Amino acid sequence: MTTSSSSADGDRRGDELGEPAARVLRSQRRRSRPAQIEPTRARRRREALTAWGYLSPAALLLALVFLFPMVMAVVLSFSSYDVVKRTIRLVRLDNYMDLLQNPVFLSSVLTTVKWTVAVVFLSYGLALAIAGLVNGAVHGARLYRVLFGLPWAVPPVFAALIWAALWDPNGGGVNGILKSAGIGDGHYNWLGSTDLALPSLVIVGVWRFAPFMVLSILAGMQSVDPQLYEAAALDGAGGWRRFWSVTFPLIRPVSVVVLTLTTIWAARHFDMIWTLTHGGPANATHVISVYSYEETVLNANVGNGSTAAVILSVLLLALALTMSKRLTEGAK
Amino acid sequence: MSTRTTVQTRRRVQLRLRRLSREVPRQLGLAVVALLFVLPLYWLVKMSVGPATSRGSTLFLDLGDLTLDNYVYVLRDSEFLRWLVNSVVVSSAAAAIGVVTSLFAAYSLARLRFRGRTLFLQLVVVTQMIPSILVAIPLFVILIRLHLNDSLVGLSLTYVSLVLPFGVWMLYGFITELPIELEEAAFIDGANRFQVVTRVLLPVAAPGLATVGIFSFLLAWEDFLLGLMILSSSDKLTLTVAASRLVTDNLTYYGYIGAFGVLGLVPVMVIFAFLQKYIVRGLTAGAIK
Repeated sequence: MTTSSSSADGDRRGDELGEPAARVLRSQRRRSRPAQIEPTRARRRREALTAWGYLSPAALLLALVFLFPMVMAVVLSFSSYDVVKRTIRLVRLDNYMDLLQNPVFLSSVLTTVKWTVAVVFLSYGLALAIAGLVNGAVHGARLYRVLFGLPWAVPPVFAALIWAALWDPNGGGVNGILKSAGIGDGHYNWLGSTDLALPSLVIVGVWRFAPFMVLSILAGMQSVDPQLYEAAALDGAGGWRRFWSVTFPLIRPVSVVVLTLTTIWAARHFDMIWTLTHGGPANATHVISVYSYEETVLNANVGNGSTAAVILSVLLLALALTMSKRLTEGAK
Repeated sequence: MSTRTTVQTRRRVQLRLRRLSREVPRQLGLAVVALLFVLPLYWLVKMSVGPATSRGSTLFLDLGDLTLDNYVYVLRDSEFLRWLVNSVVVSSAAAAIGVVTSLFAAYSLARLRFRGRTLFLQLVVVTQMIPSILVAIPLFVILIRLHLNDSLVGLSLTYVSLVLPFGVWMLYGFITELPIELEEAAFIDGANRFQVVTRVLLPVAAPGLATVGIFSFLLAWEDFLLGLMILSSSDKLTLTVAASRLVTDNLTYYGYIGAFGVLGLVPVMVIFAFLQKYIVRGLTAGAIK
C-alpha cells in the first residue's frame, strides 16, 4: 500500500498546503515509512488523545448544557429546594414516595397513557390504511407524499394555533362545517368540555404525528421487491391478501422503529397540549409534562417537577430499550 | 381493428374496466385522506384573507370579502418581523454550532478507538429520549445565575443541548457508512488527521452535514418550552412563543391569527419544499438499514 516517495508528490501537496507544509511533507517522505502495522501502545494512546481532542468541544458543550442539567435535575428530584432561602436539602426518596401517592400525579400518568396510546394507534392505523391504498405503485405518488407530509412541517405551536381556531366554540372551523352540514347548532365546546377535550387534542396529535409514520412506511414499502407482488399475484392472492402477507411483514422493522419514536414523542409532548388547554379543563388533558411544568414554574415546586420529569424519562427509556431489543431480535 | 375478433376486444375492455374499478376507489380514498390533511392549512389561509374578526364559519371562501389587511397589520403593526428575525438568528446559531461540533464528535466516535467510546455512544442515544422539561428546569436556573435569561444568547446556548445529541448520532451513522479507504489514502499521502477530516471527509460527508444542519435548524425553530421558560420581554420572543400568546380563551381576531400563521409557516414550508428529500432520508435512514 506504500506509494513511492518522490519530491514531485511533495511539491504538489505543497502547492495545496503552502510552502512550509511542503517542506515538512518532503522531509517526512524521506524518513522510512512503515506499512500498515498494529497500533503500538504509544500510538493507541495518541489516538485516544486525538479522539478526546476532537471530542472535547462537543463533550464540553454537551456536558454543560445537557449532562450537568440532567444530573442536577435528578439531584433536585432527591431534594427539597426552598426557592426563597435558596437552600437544597436532600430528602432521599421522599419526593418519589409522595408523588406516587399523589392523586393529581397518578391521574396525569393515566391521561398521558390515554393520550399516547390514542395518538399512536390512530396514527399507525391511518398509516397502514394509506399504505394499503397505495399497495405498490400509484399515480401521483409524489404529490401525495407532499400532501401527506405537510403537517409534519408545521411547528407544533402553529399547529395548536390552527386547531385553536378550528375547535373554537363560537365560530371555529369544525363547528362551522358541522353546522353547514346540518349537524348540531354550531356551538360545541370542544376544548372546554371535560369529555371532548382529550379526543379533540388526540385529533390534533394525529394530524401532527401521523405524517411521519405515513411517510416512513411508504418509504419502507418502496424497498419491497416488486417481484414478490408478482409472485403473490401468480399464486392467486388478491389485493388484500397481497397486502397482509407480503407488504405488512416486510415493513415490520420500519413499523417498530416508527412506533417507538412516535410513542416517545407523544408521551413527552408539551407544546400543543399546553397551548390549547393548559392541561384543563379540570385536568382532563393534564399529562405528565404539563404537570412537571406547572409544578416547577407556576408552583415553584422544583423538587416535584423534577421528580415527575425523571419518572417520565425512566418510563420512556424502559420503553425504548424493550423496543430496541425486540427489533434486534426480530432482525436475526 | 377489423382483424381483431370481438372476443379479444371484449377482453381488453374487461381488463381496462377491472383496472379502473381498482384504481378509482384507490385514488378516491387517497384523495380524501390527503384533503383531510390539508384542510386545516387551507382554513388558515382562508382566515388570513377574510375580515379581521370574521367567524369564517363556512367551508368556502366568501369571495366578496377578500382582503389583505390582516397581512398588512401583521407585517406593519405588530412585532412579527422582529420575532421572525429572532427565530432565524437563534436557529441558525444552533445549526452552525451543531454541525461543527457534531462533525468532530461523530468522527472521533466513528473512527478512533478510546476508552469510554461505547459509553459516550450510549449516552448520545439515551439523551434523545429525555423530555425537554427535565433539562429545561436546571438550564433555566443556570441561566438566571449567569444573567443570561431573557436573552437570545442564552437561548442559543440551550438550543445546543437540543441539537447536539441528534446531530452526533446522525453523523456517526453517516460516517461509519463511508468507506475508510479514502481516509487511508489521504494518510498515506501524508496528511495529518485534521487535514483528513477537513479536506477528505468534509466533501464526501457534505450531504450528511447538510441534513444535520437542516435538522438542527428545524429543531431549534419549532422549540417552544425552552423559549417559553427563558424569554419574557416582548421584543426577544421567537415566533413559536409569540404564536402561543395568540391563543387565548376568547379568540376574536381570526384574521390576524390567519395572517400570522401563514407568514410564520412560510419559512418552514419553503425549507421543507426544497429539502424534503434530505429530511425524509435523514429520518428513515436508521429505520430502513
